[in-house]
Amino acid sequence: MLFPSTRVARIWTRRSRLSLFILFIMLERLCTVNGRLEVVYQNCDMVGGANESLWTFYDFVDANGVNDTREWRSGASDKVQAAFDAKVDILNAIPPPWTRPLVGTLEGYDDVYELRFKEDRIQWRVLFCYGPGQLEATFLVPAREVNNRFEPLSAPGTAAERAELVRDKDNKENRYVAAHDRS
Amino acid sequence: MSPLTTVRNRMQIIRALARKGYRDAYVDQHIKRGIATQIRTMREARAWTQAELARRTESKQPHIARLEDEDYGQYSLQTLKRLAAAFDVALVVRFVPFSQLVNYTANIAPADISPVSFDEDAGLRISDLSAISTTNAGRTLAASTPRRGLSTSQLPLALLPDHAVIPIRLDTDSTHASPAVESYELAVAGEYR
Repeated sequence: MLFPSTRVARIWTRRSRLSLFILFIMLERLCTVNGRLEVVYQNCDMVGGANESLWTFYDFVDANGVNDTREWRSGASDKVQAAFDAKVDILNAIPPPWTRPLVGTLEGYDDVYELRFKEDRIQWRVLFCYGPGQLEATFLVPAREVNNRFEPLSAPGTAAERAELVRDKDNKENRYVAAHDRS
Repeated sequence: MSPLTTVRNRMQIIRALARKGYRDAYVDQHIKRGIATQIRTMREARAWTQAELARRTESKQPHIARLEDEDYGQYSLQTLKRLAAAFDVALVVRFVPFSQLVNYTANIAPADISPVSFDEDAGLRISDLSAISTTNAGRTLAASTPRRGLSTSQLPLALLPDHAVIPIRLDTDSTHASPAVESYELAVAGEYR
């Protein structure tokens, strides 16, 4: 066994998280080159077996480095955070195209969708777009719906502008996205 | 999702679970949203209408619509058992440590959301055992290994009914033609049947 789980468990401490992360990066590169990535991960209990989830999620980050989705999530209640996270976990396993009731479309905005859920008696709407790549989605603007209106009112328009930046073919470096952060 | 993203995802979930309020809510949310999504996707996979599922579970269509509402979350065990019987899938309700929950939620696959019915369950076919190949003298699982939770030593036991424990020896003689597969079949044929 290339990566015994007992050994992983032993080094899985707070102090060694960073080094473990670096180790995984090195392992991933090494094993992809050797074509043995699947074997490594199948034998690593910590990872949980072969990777079969479908999607990769991103947060939109503006030119000043502000990540609205992360800031909204970190300031939300535990229930709202858990609801959002569970939605994302489940969406991870749903092949495209996502349809209602999982997600909603926005009238007048072809490239913007809403992740809908109710928690703390509030109808939350996290606006997102597909991309920048295939099987990828980017959270653009967190909002809520009150009396059939968005709060903030500008949310759909802002989301549309951001979606354009995310999906811009000239944006090859994906400057406007960061890995979805639930910390 | 890359393996690296899975690891990052898992680390972030573990960090969030440190808060009692969050982890209680996370369990609740995964039950209500996960079950609702499963009911809907399993129904759609079988091309059943809500009315058809209602008929099969001896309930009413509006009740099925409520069960498929992610924000509903009022499931009785009796209802879930009836749905499992209608879909011909198993229902597992048990208390587990949070590590097991994270193993699941950090990397949910489509097959987890919409499990196949008994008749389509390839994991139950004894004949499919021959497809299980091994490397390194039968000690390392190959790519055909079922996902998550099954190691070489656990695999035979997972196929046995009612948790029966029957010793099965894996041949480690690598010079023998297809040693591990043959010995596996022999073990199943001779010891199990």
